[in-house]
Amino acid sequence: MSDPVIELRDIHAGYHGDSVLRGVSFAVERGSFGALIGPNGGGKTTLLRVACRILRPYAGEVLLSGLLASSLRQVAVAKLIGFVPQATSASFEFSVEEAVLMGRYPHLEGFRRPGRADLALAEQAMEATGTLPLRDRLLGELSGGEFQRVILARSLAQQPAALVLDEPTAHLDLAYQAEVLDLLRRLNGHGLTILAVLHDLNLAVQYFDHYTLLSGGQILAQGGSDDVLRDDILSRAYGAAIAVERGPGGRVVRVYARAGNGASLSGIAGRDALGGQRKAPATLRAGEVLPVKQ
Amino acid sequence: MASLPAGKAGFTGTTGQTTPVARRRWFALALAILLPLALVLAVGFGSTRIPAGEVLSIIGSAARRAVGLGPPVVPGLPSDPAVTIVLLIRLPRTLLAAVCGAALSVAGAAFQAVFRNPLADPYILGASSGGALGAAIAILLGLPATAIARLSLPAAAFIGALLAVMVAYALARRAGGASTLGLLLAGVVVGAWTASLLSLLIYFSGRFLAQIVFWLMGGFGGATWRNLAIVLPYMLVGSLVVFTRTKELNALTMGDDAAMGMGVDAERSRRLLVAGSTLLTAAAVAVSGPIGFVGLIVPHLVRLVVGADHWRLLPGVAATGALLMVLADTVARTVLAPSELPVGIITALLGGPFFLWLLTRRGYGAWFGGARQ
Repeated sequence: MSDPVIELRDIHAGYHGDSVLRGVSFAVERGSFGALIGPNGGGKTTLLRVACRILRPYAGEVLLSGLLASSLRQVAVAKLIGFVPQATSASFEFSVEEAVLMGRYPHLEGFRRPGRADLALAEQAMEATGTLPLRDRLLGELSGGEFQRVILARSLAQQPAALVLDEPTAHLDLAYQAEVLDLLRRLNGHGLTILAVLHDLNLAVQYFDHYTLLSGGQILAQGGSDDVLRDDILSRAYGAAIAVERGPGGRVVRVYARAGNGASLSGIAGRDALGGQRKAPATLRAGEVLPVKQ
Repeated sequence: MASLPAGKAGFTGTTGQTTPVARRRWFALALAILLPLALVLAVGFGSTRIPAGEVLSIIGSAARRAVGLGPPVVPGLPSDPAVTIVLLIRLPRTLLAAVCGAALSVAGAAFQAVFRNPLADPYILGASSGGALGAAIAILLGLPATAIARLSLPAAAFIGALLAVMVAYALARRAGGASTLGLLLAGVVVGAWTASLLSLLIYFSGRFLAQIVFWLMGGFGGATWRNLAIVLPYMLVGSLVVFTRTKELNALTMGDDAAMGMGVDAERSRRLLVAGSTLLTAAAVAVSGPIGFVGLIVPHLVRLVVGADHWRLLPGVAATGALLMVLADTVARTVLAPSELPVGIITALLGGPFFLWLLTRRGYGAWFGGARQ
């Protein structure tokens, strides 16, 4: 019954001998639409890099469409998974069309150059991401949101079975966040498997129905919103008091952190230049609510 | 918009501006005309002026003889001095300048892509100071005066350049993977350390001082057919490695993770591209000494015209590098005739201001550490 596109089995991985992932087993079912969430340094990006065979694990197995990743060439991996890394700047002035055409590279054996069919696919990918009007622009001239969509178009041009995205909404304003996530959901509707690292839980709850919570290099919980988005589980993962507010029907309305340890901040905040005390309370006590800002 | 005809790789462009496709065609046409023209004129130009027609006929008849077609040379007959000048002095020198200009420029373009660093040049991993150290050692040992004569100097420079890059690479690997930044840092350190060794040698060089310093300034003064024959195989191998990896070069400019995501084995590709570019650089350094700025600037210049795609970029870079080096060398050997300026002085004098102009151009700010909003 289960048909995972990506399957990790007891993965230990990290950098320079340190372990970031400590025994992670995890599967991405074909056609699923999942969010990978968790605190900073929890291993989300490392997990994606292992899944895309960019980082070799110390121990454990990665299976891609049932094939052992370590036995695959990088090109074969790229045909199965489209990887969208965190928005990086491009240091060379490729045009948007040239950048999207690079998505065809895994399909071009040896010294072959992109041809008409490849260009048609690149155009489709640009059409889907709304970047077709930008095709002649240089990457350096794009806004953050436009750049992110171009990178997405490039991954779509790869015709992968699954798309793996590392914080696709980072650096984007609200409108672009919605645009990118809407697009991902539509693509998922067409059968594309999607796994995205999302930092912003409040954004995640609006779009995703499957969550994997990664903290301290281990998976603390996975499943639907009822299984994962719970006060106790999130609080343990983030090491802080997290509250989940649910509306009628159990839908998550918002997730927020209760501020922490009651340490006095009066020495470092709340004074103006003359040393006078401001009206706002400078000391936060445990249990006091501080909504998380987006 | 989706109904745009497939295969339309071109640009619709905005009102009245030349489209990139047209610009590329003009550029290719201009190079196809200018490069042969410059070669012929450069050979004719000098203290003895030889008309272009005569240059062509001398080269033509020599070429026919070489393939066994023309009339045989009668031994003992005093030959025309123009023939000697063209065939033995200026033609090998001009060709050597052309291939070195091309090699340095292609290596520069590859290093810039591999390191995602617009300031990278062919000497970024210490090839120039390594080559210089090798050459200085050879000169101090008196090797150029021995029986194997002029061969030993290029050989020593070549070995020095290769060694410096290999040490930099090994250091970077030991320090935790041959990452872009690790390699750059190792290259800087090896380059500086080699340069200090070189300074030490120069300090104690005594009567060899002038010879070493002259070599360091770079030039094609000692060009022979033999030099050309020695470096050409290395340059061909290096070119083959780089020119067959245009997709990898493109992908690597997007960053390692992105390149891996596109199916490119980033580390392996980088290793091969660094090896190929180092061959190109070391071969050029061996016969001409370090000549600055060409390998840094030519890739930028050509990128402005043809764009960043290495499939189009590399041929343009090779031709432009050859053209500029031939021009610079012609200036170097004629402005102060009968004495000769090191060509490295010309390229640095022209290259510096040009690079500054490049820096101040609109849109280039993003290249040099500018963050994306």
